[in-house]
Amino acid sequence: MKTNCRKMRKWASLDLDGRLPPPRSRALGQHLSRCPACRAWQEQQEELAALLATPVPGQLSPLFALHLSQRITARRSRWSFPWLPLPTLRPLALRTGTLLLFLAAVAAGFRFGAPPRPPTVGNGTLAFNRTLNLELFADLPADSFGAVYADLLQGGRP
Amino acid sequence: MPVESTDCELLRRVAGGDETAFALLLKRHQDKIYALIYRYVHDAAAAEDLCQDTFFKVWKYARTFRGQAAVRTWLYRLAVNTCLNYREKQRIRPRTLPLTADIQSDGGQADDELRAAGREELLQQALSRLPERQRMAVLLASFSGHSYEEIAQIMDVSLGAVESLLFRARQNLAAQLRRPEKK
Repeated sequence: MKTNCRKMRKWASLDLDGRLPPPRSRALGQHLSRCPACRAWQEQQEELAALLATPVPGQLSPLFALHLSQRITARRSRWSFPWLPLPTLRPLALRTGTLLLFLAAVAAGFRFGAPPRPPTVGNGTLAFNRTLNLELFADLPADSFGAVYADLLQGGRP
Repeated sequence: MPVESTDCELLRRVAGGDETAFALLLKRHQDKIYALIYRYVHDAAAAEDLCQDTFFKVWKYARTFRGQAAVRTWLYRLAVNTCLNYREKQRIRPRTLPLTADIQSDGGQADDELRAAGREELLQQALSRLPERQRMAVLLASFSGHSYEEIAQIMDVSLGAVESLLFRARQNLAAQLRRPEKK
């Protein structure tokens, strides 16, 4: 297919929907009068458009509206708040309710929660203190670091 | 004599939970929406389910309608998105249907009804082979009679994209329906 034919078919597509400006429409007409392939293409598109516009063979069942209504009722009974008159207020009420619930939970936590415990000595520290044998420093010279440290531990002054 | 309510008024009432308004809106649009969906899925049961999904969404999301587009455009947008989501989930492969030549060769002895049915079937076959968005664009333009501006709003694309989608859809349809003639 020539480039010009492609462009003209694009124009023919627009023309089919009434979107082609008159100058281009005239140019398209001239092209179609000279090009049998594009003319056939356009005729085929017109036939297709006519075929597409025909009504569909089937139609909705008589129970369609009833089934839809049942579905809506089922949803409404789950999530609606009938005591709220305006549906637009319902999301706002839902959010406010959630916020109040959160605040109530925080307040309850402060009121009834356990008081904070003071920091306790861990098991590791206790074990260290139990196994600390100051006798190990007894043989050290009096001015050594170990002796000074042992003296400090026993409450003495350097 | 009471003045007929506009779609916009009806939808506003639907947003307030008015079931009568919903019934009126449903009655006004259900057949056209169903016809579009049927053309798209070519399955009566699926089309009815999708139509129900569409109007259920209308009820559910009526209060989110801002009035930036016409109610009709908004309705079709819901229907189109429902269809495209359905296709995305189902990943339905196009069915293999008889070629044009087969139907035409029998057509010499067939009556008009059979010929019409054959044409309908061929059209559906050709449509089902189109990419989803091309199919929807051509149905909205040629079947539902929407303008390019409406199609752009419904499908959330630019006007240029609508032109392009329609042209490619028509090229594809022409190519598919021309193929048997080459035999």
